Amino acid sequence: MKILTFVRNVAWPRDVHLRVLIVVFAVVLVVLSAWEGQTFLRADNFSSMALQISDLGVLSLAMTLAMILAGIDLSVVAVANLSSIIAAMVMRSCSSAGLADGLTTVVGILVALVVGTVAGTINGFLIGTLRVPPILATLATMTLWGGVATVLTNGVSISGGTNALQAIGTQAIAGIPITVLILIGCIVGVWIFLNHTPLGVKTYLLGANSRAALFSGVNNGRVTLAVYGTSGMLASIAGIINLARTSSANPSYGASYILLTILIAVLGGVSVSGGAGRVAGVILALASLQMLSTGFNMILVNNGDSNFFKNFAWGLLLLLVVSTSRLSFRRFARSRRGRIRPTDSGAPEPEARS
Amino acid sequence: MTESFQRVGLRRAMRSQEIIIALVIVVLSAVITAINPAFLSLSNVFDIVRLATVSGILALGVLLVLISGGVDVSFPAIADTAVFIGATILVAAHFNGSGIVLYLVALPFGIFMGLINGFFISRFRVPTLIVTLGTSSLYYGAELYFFGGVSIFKLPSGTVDLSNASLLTVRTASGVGTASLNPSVLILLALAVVISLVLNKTTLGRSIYALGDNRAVAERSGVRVARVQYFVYGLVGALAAVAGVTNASLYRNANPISLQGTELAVIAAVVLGGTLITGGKGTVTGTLLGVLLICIVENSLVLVGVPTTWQNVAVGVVLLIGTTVPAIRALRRRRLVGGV
Repeated sequence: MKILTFVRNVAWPRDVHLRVLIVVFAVVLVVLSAWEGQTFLRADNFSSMALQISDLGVLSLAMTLAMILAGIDLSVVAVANLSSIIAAMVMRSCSSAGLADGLTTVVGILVALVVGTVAGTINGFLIGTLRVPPILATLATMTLWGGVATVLTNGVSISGGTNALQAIGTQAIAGIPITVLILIGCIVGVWIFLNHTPLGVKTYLLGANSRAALFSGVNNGRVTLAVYGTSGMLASIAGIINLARTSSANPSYGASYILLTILIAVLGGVSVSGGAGRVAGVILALASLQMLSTGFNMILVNNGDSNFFKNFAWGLLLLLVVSTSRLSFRRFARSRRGRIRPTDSGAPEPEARS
Repeated sequence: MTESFQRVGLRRAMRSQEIIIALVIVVLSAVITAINPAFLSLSNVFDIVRLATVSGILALGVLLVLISGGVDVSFPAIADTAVFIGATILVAAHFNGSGIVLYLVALPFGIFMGLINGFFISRFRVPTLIVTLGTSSLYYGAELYFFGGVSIFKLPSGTVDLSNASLLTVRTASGVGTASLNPSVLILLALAVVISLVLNKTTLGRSIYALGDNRAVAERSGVRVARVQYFVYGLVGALAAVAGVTNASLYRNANPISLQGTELAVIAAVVLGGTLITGGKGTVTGTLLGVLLICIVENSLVLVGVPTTWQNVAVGVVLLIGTTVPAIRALRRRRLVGGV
C-alpha cells in the first residue's frame, strides 16, 4: 500500500502546479513520440538532450535557491563565466609550470569553486547585510563580473583545460555522460539542502516572511549569505561543466541563459515572491523545455529558424502555465473559504508582486 | 527660525538622490575634462546626447512601471518588434515619404503589445517580472519567426532624413568638421515633460504612485488597479515604440534585435536616478540624470585613456555604488527609528 501511495504521489502529486507540469510533460512526450517517434524515441537522442541541459540545469538550481529566498540572482551566468575563465587561466599556467595533468585539473576545479562561492557570498553580503534589493545587487555584480571577465580575456574566447577535464566533458559512466551525473549530484545536493537541513527550512521561512523569520530567531543575514554563496558555487559548477565540454571559456557565453533559468524556475513552480518551490518541479520544467526544444528542431527543420519559434513557444508556455496555475489556485481557495493547507500552497499566493 | 528652516531644507535636498547624482555628474565631468578637454567639446556632448536619447525614452517607460510597483523587461522586445513590423508594412506599401509615418504605424503595435502585458498582469495577477519575461520571449520569437530576422535598410526617405537632420550645427574647435545636434532629443524632452505632468498633475498619475506604494491601501481608497495597470503598460508600449522608431531612424535601419539586452542597463539607470525598485517613488528628473550618468561613463573611458574592455567594470562599479549607498542610508535610518 505504501508503495502505491508513493507512486500515486509521484505521478499525481497534491501540488496543483506540479500536476499542471506533469500534464505538460506527458503531452509533449506523447505528441513528439507520435509525430517523430523513430528519431525522438531513441536512446542517443535522450542522452544528447540530457547532455545539453547539464549546465543549464545547474544554473537553474542556482536561480531556484535565490528565488525561494524571495530574491533573484541575475549574476549566475556571469559568475559561471568568470570562474571558468579564471580556472582556465590557472590551469594553463599550472600545466606550463609542469604540474601533472590530474593535479592541475583538481587545482582548476577548486579555484573555480572558490571564485564562484566568493562571488556568491558577495551577493549575499550586499543583499543580506546591506539590504540592497536582490535584483539590483545581482544586476550590479553581473555587470561587474562580466566586465572583469572581459578585461581578463580581452573579450575573446580563451582555450584551456586538461585531458582529465576533457574526459569529464566527453566520457560516460554506464552510458550516462559524466556532466549529467554532475547535474544529478547537484539536484540531489540541493534537494537535501532544501528538505533535510535546518538551513533549508530557514530558507523557506525567510523567503516566505523575513520578519517572521527574524522574530523566530533566524539569523537572516547569515542564511542569506549561505544561500547566495551556494548559488554562486552552483554557478561555478555550471562554468566547470561548460569548460569541460568545450575546452574554452569566454565572457559572453550563455547570455540568454539568465532569462531562461528564471523561466525554468518559474515554470517549475518557484514563487517569485519567495518561500515556495520544489526541486522536482524545476527538473520537470527543465526536461519539458529541452524536449520541446528538440521536438521543434525536428519538426521545423525545413521550416524557418526553429530557435525563433522556440522563443515564441517558451514565452507562450510560461504565460499559459503561470495563468492556469493561478486560476486553479483561485478556484481552490474559493471552494475552501480560506481553509488552505500549507502542503497545498505550491502555487504562489495571489497577492504576490513584481 | 528661517535660518534653521533653510538648513533643514538644504539637508533634505542633500539627501535626495537627484542632487547627489547631479553632483556626481558634475564632479565626473570635471575630472574627465581635466584629463582630456575634448570631453566638453560640442561634438562629444552631442554624441552623448544622441546616445542618451533612445535610452532616455525607454527609461521614461521603465520609470512608470517601477513607480507602479512592477518591473518590465519586455520593452526592448516591444520597441524592436513594433518598428520592425511598421517598417515591413511601409516597405510592402512602397511608402517613401515623411518620417513621422513610421512613428504612426509602429505606435498601435507598441500599445497593443503593452496592453497584452497589462492583461496578464491585471487579469491573472501574475508577477510583472514573470509576465514580461514571457512576453519578451514571445514578441521576439514571433517577430523573428514570422517576419524574418534580416535588418530592413530600405526605410522611407523621411526616416533616413531624420538621422541627418540637425537642430544646431557648429564648426568643431579644430575647424575640420561640424558637429550637429540631432532633433530627436526634442522627442525625449517633450515626452519627459508630458510624463512628468501626468505623474504629478493628474489623478491617474498619483494613482500610479499610490498603487506602487501600497496596493491594498490604494484599492481601498478607490484606485481602480486594473485600469491603472492597463494605462501604465499601454503607455510603456507606446514609449517603447517611439524609442524603437527613433533608434531605427538614427541608425537608418530597422534591426530586429537592435535593443535586445539593454533592458537591465535601462532599469539600472532609472534606479540610479533614485527610483525605488519596490515602487511608489521616482521622478522624471532623476531618471534623465541616471541615464546621463550611465551614458557619460560608457562614452568617456576612451577619452581618459582607459581601454574599452574596462567599460563594463566601470559601469558595474557605478551600479554597485549607486545601489549600495542608498541601501546603507536606508539601513541607518531604520536603525535610528529602532525598526527592523
